[in-house]
Amino acid sequence: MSPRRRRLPWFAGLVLAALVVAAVFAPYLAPHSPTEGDLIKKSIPPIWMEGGNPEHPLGTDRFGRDVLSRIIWGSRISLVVSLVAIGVAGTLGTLLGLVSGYRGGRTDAVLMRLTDIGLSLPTILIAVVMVAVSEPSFRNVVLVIALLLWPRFARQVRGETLAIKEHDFVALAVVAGRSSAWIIRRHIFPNVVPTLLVISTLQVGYVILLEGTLSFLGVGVPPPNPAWGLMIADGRGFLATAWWMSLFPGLAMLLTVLAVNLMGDWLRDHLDPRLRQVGPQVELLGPAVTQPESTPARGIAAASGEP
Amino acid sequence: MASYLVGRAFQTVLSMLVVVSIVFVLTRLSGNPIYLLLDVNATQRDQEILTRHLGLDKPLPVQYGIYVMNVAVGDFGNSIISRRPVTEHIWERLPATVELGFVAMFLSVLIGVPLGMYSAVRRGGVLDTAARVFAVLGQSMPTFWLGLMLILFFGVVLGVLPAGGRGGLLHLVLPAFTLGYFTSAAILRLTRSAMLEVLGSDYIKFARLKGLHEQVVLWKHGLRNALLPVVTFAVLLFVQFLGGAVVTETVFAWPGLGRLILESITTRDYPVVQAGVLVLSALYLTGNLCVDLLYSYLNPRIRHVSS
Amino acid sequence: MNRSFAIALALLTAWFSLLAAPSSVAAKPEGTLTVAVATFGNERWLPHLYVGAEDVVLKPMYENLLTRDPKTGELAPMLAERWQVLDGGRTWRFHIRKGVRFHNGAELTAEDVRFTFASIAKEGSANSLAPEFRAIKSMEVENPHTLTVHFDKPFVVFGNKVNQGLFASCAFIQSKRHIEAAGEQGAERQPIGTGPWKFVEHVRGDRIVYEAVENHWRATPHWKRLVFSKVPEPATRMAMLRAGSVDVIEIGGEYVDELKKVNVRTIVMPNVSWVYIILGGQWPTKATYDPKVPWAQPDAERARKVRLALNLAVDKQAIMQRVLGGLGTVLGSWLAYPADPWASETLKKPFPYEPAKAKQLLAEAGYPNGFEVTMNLTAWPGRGYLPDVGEAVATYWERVGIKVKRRPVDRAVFSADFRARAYSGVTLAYASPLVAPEMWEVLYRGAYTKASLNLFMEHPRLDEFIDRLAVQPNYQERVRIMRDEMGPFLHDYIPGVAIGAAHAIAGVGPKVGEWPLIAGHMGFHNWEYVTRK
Repeated sequence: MSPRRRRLPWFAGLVLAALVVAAVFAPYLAPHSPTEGDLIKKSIPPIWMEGGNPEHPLGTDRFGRDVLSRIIWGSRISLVVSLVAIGVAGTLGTLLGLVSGYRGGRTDAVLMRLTDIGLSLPTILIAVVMVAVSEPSFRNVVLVIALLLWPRFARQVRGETLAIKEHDFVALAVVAGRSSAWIIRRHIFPNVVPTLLVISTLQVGYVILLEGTLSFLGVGVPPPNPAWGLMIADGRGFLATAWWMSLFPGLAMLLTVLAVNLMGDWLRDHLDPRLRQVGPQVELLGPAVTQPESTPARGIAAASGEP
Repeated sequence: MASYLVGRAFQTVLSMLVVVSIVFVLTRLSGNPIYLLLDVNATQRDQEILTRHLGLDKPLPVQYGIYVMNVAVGDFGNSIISRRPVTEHIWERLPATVELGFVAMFLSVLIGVPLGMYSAVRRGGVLDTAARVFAVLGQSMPTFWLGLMLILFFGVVLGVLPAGGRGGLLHLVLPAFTLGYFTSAAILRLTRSAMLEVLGSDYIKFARLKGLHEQVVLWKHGLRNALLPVVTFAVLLFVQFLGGAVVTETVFAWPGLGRLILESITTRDYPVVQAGVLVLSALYLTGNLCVDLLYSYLNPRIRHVSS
Repeated sequence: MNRSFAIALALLTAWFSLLAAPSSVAAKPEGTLTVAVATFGNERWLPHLYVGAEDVVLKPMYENLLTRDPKTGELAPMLAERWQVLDGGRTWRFHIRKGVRFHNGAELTAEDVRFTFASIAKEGSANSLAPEFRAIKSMEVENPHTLTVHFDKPFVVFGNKVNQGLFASCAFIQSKRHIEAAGEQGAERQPIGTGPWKFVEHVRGDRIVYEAVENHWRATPHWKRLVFSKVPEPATRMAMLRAGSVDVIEIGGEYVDELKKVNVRTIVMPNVSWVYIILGGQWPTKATYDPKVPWAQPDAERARKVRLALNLAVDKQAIMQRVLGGLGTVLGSWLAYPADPWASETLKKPFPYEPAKAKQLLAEAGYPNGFEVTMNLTAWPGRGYLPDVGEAVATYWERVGIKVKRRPVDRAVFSADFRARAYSGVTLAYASPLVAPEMWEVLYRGAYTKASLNLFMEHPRLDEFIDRLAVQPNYQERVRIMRDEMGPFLHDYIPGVAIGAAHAIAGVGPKVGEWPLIAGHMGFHNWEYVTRK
């Protein structure tokens, strides 16, 4: 292992800070309304191109809406979608994972089979069916994403819980007559938090992309919301005449997801208790020591798929 | 071991039943296919006749019972739209899907493993960052966007690769890369942490002490031992590609299973959606089961090695 | 009716001298023409099983009794070499061409035609022409090449239902013997027709391959093979055309500038659909009627003011130019195309764009602060621009104070709403394809209370017009009624928001030469006349 500690990824930090600022202060930063457009001002190119208009630095889209303003407001949507979806999925998944891992036995078997089922369903197809059932709205898209994400948290947290459970301080608490709830709250959960933070961060990117994919399939955040994914999907057929409609939101998404992922990797190296320890060897097979089905491969498999 | 195996197999079958039920309910909630089978001007009587003909007039629990019983004996029914056996449709699409999934997995490993190794060896260095940024970039844009960019660049601008459709080996390159590049970041992470873990282990230290050449240490002792989780992950990835490549298949006009299911969702062709999702999740659950069994079989040895 | 018979005969002669001659000296078919389309429809082949979206991929293989003259749009002979309309439209007699053979070598007879018509009319039939063919009282095969069709009431436009050309041309004549011998399943796996292309291969959801019929009675194709490829993503279709992987693509008018920019040739099929905003809920006699819907309320005058306001609030010209790529004509009356003989100057004049007046009208109608509406955004086959039109109209409405909720729904869900008339108070951007040449025929399906379904409005006056037109055998008189009575009524009533008639386009690659098209025909057709370059 290299003795060098990786520095805080300043690039990722900067991008994420900008994202948060844009999302919070969108009404003050955006020069125009994100949803009101004028067809007469359709497809104005960015400012540095011939026919550009200083009013619209990054040009306008097919409905004459200001691309820059839509990107700024879009950061809010990306942030809200990922925070809420991950919040809901994370809470549910963590709860189930903690219970499953701590209780073990039949509870564990049932909960883990449920998690398996959740993981086995083809994410995007199920999302399409669910949105078709409920019709696309901001809320439904968030809920659908959350519903698809919880098993990933449940699985990871369970594995983690199993490992922590083996520590002496847990055994001591049991001997001291503490209740299961107390032990989970005071001993196990705090130790799970770093991992939770890492997976959550890594999932942010996935959620942002999933929103875009759902928009491509016509079941994403409904128009005229300035969601990045929707903007990219909307402009994908106009790359010769109005590439700026999809390229700029595409760049915004690219930078954000890149930053979130790099940040997640950094957090992983620093926060993950097992990687932080001098002997990193437990990282992979630690959980596997106690229960065969918590192979790390699956935990990561859960993070794949194709948004 | 035998009883564990039987138990797990039984649980897997039970899980599939739950999957069938979920998909059954979801698809029925999503609307009636007869509206798409008939013209908007069709009479009430036409609707009734067709509904009866398709068996959709029976109460839902009865339909469910019939379906489960038929599936149990391997009869997935006929497509509502084509009236041909569902299995025929699935078999028709399987070659294209397997072909794409296999090559995509191969590319993913080809990109992910070497970069992951490098990143582990040069942990914290410039190369580590560069490798990870390259891999993460593939995970930072929606696949439909990446796919379209690749089509435009290699298909239209350079004209060296086919722009879409299924044909010879060349047709595979772009869709497989789109799919594989996206997941290579996950492979990289996995390889990287597996390598870090292996490199930190005693026997690698021992191998170095023995004075073995560093490359031999890395490739022979390091990679070989880090490979197991990577291989299992790749297998699960392949299974996921079978149904999870909806977007890639749509963008590249690839006649695969994912698109079949997606299009069947839009036409409310229940039997095809049900059978498709069931096949996919059965593949995943079985893959999962195999991985678990493999790990539980290999576990003692691994535990011995790492401690 | 003598007139149309005379024209038919004249056209027959003209047709033959035009087409028969070149086809007999044409070179052997060569090369492969590859076409990328967005959908194959349900991919069913038999007369009672296809709904209509299949027509593009079925058309090469099948033929109809009649066709249309590419220049004038008049009915012209195809499988029927001539036809008579007798008894004021109650009886139609078709004289089937002799010597036409199905792809299996069997000769086409009147029995096949009768079988096809009966299949379409069958109970449970999916064919969109089923309601029309069920009006048939009886059919007689006079001799192997003459079929007489009897109706209870005059069916003065039956010729429009048995022609190739125009959108829902679904009465493809099929072989009775083949279908009965092979069974439904078998006949769908190896379908045969009389057209200039014969079936080779069908891979569901992927491709359909046809091969030229050499020495076809009507037109031997210039191309040896015709391959339809299903490519759902429009951006991919454009890329494939540019890369030369396909020769023709189906593409929406919204992409016309995009194609021009990259120097792709486009072919325009003018005036094939009529774009308007359906204002749902105008059906006071139905159970789902909601009197609170501003534009459908019982107070007819207030309701009309709201409808007028909704029209004036929208800049139709801007939508036509900037959403539909300038491919169309803004018009003020319903379902009248610019070249129709009943499209008088008054009917053609679009409603002006006057947002201030719209606001004022809304206030007068009792909605000074507007109201809330739902705009459905649903894409229909071949009309991918509709959600864009809906979005643009919604934006205009918002400017006059109306709150618009966008509701993207897929077609399955909306079709159910359509049937149940569950879209009271919901608006929808819709483009009515040119399913029939006379405007009342379209209304007969969409707005006639006595039709099995009405999707857009009901009104006793409208029913009255349709009743009169449907039995009026004199074409000139029908034109007069549409021009002087029905058109002005609709123009004054304002059933929805009129945008206008829209063209459709196709992207065409460098290998494709001439492609003569039939006016008013929305889907691809006439593949056999496409030349090689």
